[in-house]
Amino acid sequence: MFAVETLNLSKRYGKTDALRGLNFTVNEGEIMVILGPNGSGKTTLLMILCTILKPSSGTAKVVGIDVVEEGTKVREVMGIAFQEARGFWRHKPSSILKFHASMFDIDPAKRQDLIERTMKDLELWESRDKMFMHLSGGQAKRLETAKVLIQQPKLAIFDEPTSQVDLRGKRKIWDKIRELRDQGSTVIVATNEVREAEYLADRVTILHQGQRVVCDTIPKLKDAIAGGDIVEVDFEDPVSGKLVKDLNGLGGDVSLSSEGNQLRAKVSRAEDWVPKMTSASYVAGAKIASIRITEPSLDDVFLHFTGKALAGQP
Amino acid sequence: MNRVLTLAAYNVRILLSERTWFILAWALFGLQIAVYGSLMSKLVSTTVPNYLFFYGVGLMVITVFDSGADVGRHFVEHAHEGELPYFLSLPVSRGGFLAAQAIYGVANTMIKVLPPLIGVLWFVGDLTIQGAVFALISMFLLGLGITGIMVSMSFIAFKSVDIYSAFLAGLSALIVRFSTVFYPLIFMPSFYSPISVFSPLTYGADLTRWVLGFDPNFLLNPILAAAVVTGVAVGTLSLSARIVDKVIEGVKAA
Amino acid sequence: MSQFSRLVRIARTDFSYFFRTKWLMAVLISLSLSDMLVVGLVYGRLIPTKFAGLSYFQFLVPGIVVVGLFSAATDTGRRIWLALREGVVQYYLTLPVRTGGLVGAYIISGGLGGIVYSGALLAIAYFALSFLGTSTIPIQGIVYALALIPFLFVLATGIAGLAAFFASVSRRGEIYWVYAQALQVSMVTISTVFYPAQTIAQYLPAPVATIAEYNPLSLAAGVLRNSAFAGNPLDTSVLTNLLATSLPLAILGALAYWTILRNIRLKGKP
Repeated sequence: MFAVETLNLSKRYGKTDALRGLNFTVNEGEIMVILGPNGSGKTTLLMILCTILKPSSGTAKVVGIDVVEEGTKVREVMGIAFQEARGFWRHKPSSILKFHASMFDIDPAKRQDLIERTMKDLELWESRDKMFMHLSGGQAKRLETAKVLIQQPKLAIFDEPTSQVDLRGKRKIWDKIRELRDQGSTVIVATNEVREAEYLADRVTILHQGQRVVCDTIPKLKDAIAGGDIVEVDFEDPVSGKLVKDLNGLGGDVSLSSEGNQLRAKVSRAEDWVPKMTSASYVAGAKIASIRITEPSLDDVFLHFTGKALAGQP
Repeated sequence: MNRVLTLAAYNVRILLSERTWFILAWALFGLQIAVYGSLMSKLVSTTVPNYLFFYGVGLMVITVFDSGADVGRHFVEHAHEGELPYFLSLPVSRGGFLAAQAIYGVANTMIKVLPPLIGVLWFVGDLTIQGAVFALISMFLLGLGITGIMVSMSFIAFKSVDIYSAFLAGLSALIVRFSTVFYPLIFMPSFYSPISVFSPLTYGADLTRWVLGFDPNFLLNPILAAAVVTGVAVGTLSLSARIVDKVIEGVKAA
Repeated sequence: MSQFSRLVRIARTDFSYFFRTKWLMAVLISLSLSDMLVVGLVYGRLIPTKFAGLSYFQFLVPGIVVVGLFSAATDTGRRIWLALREGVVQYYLTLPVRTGGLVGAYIISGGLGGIVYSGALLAIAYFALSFLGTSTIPIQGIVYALALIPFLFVLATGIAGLAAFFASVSRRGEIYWVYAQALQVSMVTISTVFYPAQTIAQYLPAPVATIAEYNPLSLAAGVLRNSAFAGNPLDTSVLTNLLATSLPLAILGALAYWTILRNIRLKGKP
């Protein structure tokens, strides 16, 4: 059984289609990162999964429970950290967390300890006497994350969990999200941030214009880009035209520098191409001085699949 | 000067866009006069003749007070919505900025008070241009004083909007209820009347009633009332200009 | 945890929000106390007439208690509007509670706010009347006041419902304040809080007198005067009218708020 499964999921706001027949699955116990520019349907999908929004058509299930038919049951097993922190303005963080814990039946005997530990882990303890409305943007975001951490739901959803959070805080939140996954929760993270996706993702789904473009692990996504890896080879002496011709025969696009001792090759999988290249060079008697391999970034992957750069899209 | 007027026009345009507010405020004013004022005037007829007139002026004075409080709130909201630092970055002097606020305050007060004034005078059968003009001048002076007090107090809001709101609420409850807005001073219990002489509304309300020809036996000495109303207007406006000038530079948008 | 206990927790949190808003507390307390101890006393000197044996001060004080209940209960509307503006509603929608439970929690917390605040005012009123009004409160009056709590609670939920309705139909926050002010002025003005029913009937058109008579604020003020302060037995017909006029308001508010939550689910916004 999938932790999350949607089938032909659509959501229409007036004349705008936010989701268009989305088929999407998340395996139990994995961190699924959803990447997509603004307006790609990420937040709409998350809002449907957490039952705030009703889909226009199609189905969505969370741990096998239908989000429309049995919304209350879904909410018992799911927790969400919103993109914009939402709290009771005149309550202190611990009081907000206590309320949240009580709503999800966290053992009252362990509640206080858990809240204190989580607040300390997320560096909120110093702000425990401030009212929510007086927290900084980053503190409010960390509190939003803390709610889900103390809840330890079967499905944890984080919508841009580290926007407005400083670098140190980001790393803490990421580690806690991974810890949550290690404790058995399934996690969905929606983000625009490449580093976040690379740090967290077991798999990545790219959404574009309300549809799933691709879904896989990051290495496989990178491999899927033809000519994605760039291999630069320095030879001790200029190489022959025959060797260049032989290397071109291995796949990819190989070009020789004007000095004749430097090759630049664009290949799909550097780890497959490089051994073949070294053995061909050995046979041709060309001595290799150094090899440099550059992987495509997730941004390149995104650009490849959607035709758009990832960050800063309107 | 042009820029000050542009700034004032911007504020006034926002004000005029809130037509629903005005229409409803006038309607509620009418309801209070027609129901509460009429019925209470019957109940107090043996002690205060023509109480409807007395109450009508009192209600207008409350409107002036609310309007002055609005200007202070408007100023504080600017600060907390982050607009104040923007306004302060414009090529307008601090004095010009305050003048723009004052113009907004006057427009706000006039729009809210003028129709009720005409309505009250017509309702009690005492509508003359001369009376209306003098009443307006009296309430205008009172409005300036209230605005001055509210803007002077707005520095509190830079510490906490909550405290500012609480302070304003407490102040308005006391300043209105301990004044002669609803009842003549001579009927106040002796333990309250010393407090009521500290309320500027006492002087504003009685002065307006006097210029409109209400029985002076129920009112304060008009010369004293006029002096206090003018003094409060001049004093608090100068004070607010000084305070705002000092506070404004250190203002942080919340 | 059952749905009901979650509902109670949400109601309790929302209710505590009312008391955490210090400026609001300052507004309400200063208005109520000054209405009771300043306006009531001064008008008492201006109005020599007795109303069914009550001085004007004695007549007005129970009315001020009802106005306090009204103000505290209408704060529900402000809290709904804030929750919509600050996105807390979306958070509530992710909690394991049915939509009906959320609606119920808001209405109940409005009722609780009204009853707790007016209860405190009632205690002050007893104190004020005993010391300033030169009248003694009969012991059965206090018993009747306790018996009135469920009825006043229903009244407070009705007013909370009305406020919830206005909060739900207000597209912008400012509009809610316009509605709230209009509601308060019109409901308090056209009632017997400040003047007896006979005075209204004598000087104003009959439809206004009828509205004032069946205004739930008038009914509550009347029953407080007669029973909680004068110690006369509770009038069941007045209590029935109080329930009959309050419950539809609570239902109207619940429906309006439920519609808002449904709209959020369908359109993503209220």
